[in-house]
Amino acid sequence: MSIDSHHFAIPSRGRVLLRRTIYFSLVLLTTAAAMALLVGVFQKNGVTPLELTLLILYGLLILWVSTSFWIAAVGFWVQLRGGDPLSITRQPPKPGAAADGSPLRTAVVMPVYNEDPERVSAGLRSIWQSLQETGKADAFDLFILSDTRDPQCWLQEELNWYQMCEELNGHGRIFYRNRVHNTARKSGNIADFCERWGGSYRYMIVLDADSIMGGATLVKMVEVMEAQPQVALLQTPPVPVGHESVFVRVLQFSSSLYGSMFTAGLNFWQMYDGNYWGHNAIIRLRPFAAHCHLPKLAGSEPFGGEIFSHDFVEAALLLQAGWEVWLAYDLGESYEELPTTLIDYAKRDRRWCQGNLQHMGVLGLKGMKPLSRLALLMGIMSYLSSPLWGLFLIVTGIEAYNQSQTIPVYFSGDNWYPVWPESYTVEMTTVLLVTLAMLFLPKILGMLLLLVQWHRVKSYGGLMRVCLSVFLETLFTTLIAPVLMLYQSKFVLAILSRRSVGWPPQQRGDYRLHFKEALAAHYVHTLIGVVAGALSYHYVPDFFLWLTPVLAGLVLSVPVSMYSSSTRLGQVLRRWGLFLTPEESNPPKVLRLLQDNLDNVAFWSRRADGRAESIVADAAVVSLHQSLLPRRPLRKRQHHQLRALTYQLMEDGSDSLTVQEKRAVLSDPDTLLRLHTLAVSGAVTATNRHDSTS
Amino acid sequence: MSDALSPDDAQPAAEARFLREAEDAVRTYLQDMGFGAAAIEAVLPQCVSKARKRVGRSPFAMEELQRRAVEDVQRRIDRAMAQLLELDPDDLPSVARARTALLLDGADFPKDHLLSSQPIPTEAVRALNTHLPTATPPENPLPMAPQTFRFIWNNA
Repeated sequence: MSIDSHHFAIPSRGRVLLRRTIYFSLVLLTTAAAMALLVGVFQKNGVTPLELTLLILYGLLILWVSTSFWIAAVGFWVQLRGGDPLSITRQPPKPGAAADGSPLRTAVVMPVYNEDPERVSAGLRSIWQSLQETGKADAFDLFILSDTRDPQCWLQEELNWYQMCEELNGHGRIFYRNRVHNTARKSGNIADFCERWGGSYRYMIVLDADSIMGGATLVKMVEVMEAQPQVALLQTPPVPVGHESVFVRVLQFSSSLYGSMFTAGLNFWQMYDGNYWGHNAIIRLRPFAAHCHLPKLAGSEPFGGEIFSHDFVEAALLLQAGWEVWLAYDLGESYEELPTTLIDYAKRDRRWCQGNLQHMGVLGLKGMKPLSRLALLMGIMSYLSSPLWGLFLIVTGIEAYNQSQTIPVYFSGDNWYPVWPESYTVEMTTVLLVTLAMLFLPKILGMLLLLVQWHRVKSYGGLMRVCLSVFLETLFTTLIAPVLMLYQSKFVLAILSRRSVGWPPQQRGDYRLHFKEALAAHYVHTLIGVVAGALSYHYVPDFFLWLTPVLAGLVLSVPVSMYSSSTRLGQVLRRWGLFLTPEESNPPKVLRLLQDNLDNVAFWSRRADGRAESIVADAAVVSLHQSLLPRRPLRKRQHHQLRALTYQLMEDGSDSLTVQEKRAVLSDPDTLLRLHTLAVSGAVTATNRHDSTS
Repeated sequence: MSDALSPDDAQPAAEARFLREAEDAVRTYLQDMGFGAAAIEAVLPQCVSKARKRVGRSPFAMEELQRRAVEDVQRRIDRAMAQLLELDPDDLPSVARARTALLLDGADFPKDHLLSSQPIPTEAVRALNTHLPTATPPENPLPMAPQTFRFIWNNA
């Protein structure tokens, strides 16, 4: 179906245009004002090439900072007024949702790839239980769309799925599928779902492996989609929750306190030209299938090949086809989890960096809406800003050194009167203060918003604690900013020099970094900090003082990274009421369910009696796995290869097999049965049996 | 060792050991699956003697005895399950589904009757049917229309 010829009047184009004009004018005027001050300083004695470079870098960076600042400021204003009257959740219902002839059913899909099976299962159970409590669960089915390659993880997922069906009465409603080939990664996984079962559903709610969504929110999302048939995709803002390391608790706190302001601000000007963040979103399946089967980009990785960050591009294609994409910033109970250490956060950034930079190749798509191009540009800029900032600091240092070497000339030529050197302290201080204000004012606005909504203060630990938390959060984010800047600069440079960074799964659970790991990850940062500090202190002492926040972050990167990964310290801070969030102080039902499920979901370790490796001898697990395997005819050669692998496993142990070979053994029902029989009949030696799936 | 396995004349010590190990393997296997001792002891001699016939008498073949005995008991269970649930015994995924329900949720199911061919109450069969794993629903494709990217610098 296409609605290209239709147009729905709410909200009107005029109002949306007015909003965008206001927002972009504020951004551009602020940038222009800051630039005017700086240009005024530089042009007095003519602009040198170095100064011109500085101006260009500052211009790009201040534009970026201003973009973010005005999103927060506008969001503050929207929240202060009690929300956005034009938000999608407040629009009057329209008829026509059933026009495409699809059945009013929703598939909640969770693509997984080598994730912690117990966390996946606990999360899905919580979502399903929460959905049951709404009394409207009959219209939903749940799909675990596994792309898992790790053999043991695969078996675990299956067992957890079956146990979930058993315990939550989910047979025939909760489904599991493991793809034979994980072509095109997550987007291919979703496409496979559409092409096999999409016809049975009108909507698909896409989750990430660490997503948690309340049942009431899922129901509300469907209701909004039913009421707004012109909307193809509705994105909810996921709030990070669930972990306890210092690092992640600081980020959870800041997201909780400032996040809603930013999403409200984003929605203010994006409106029906919103974006897709890849998960915690509901999608109308018919238009998605019609417009979002992404082709490969020409060339090879990192810029060519499959599109890594498919979400932005899918949103752009839906908008291009005339559909609306909205950010439902005011829908709650949408959660996700963050990496728990600085290093894991950087690893995730590495993947996202490649995905976003790859969008350079999509920017020139014919027919793409300007706001979609802007969204892609903003994604690119969120990573490019790091090397730009690094370059800016270097150029500023050189310029400061040049200035320090300039000897004032008071008398020249026939001039009898001394020419006093001009002071630009006022202008430079203003530029600096404007920049700092735009960086830190959103935090104060977030605090103010909390004070206005006084009833929420207690859930953040009370006024004193929230003030202290904001102060400490500012200190902490200031310290880690230069480290992330160096990491991201490295990723950008690697990708621009056409080195693919891969797409490895991240460590999602709590994990305490050891000194050696922290040192290995950050010694370069520390060295850079020490060298830059020594150089600036020796050659430009005044500049050294300005640089101290950046230097401190680099020099202290090892202890900061190590101690911030501590869960115990995070728990102590929580007991003290620091970095407390409403989700911690009074968790919603779905998060309480998650915690209960995490405490009780260890089927695998229970079954395997602590020795997961011996699971291939477990008749129940093998039966389940056999029942889920697709029946594929094998060639004679493949039969022989599998038999050889079985004997190799028996004689040399599983370590002699690659992951692909283990997967091949587990993918053939006959080979699996043979291996199982050998294991239980003692033909596989105890040593070999114990590591047969490890 | 059971009487059924006693040889007509003195067995070599190695063969006796293989037979004993085969019995142990089948016993442990069935115990792990939750079958009762009486049912196990009843079926054990049949499985091992059948396996012994299949492998012959050579010392090399005797090493296959355990595997053959386990395979025999697997076949017995699968055949019984297929007959009970009216499945095609050659339809491995369907039989595996039934075996999964039996082993992962068959706490109240009279498993021992499967080995002894005793009648199983209809309610138990019906209950087992509700626990069969259903991994995916019937397919109902929604084809994804392949997209082609055209760029502003391409005139075509």
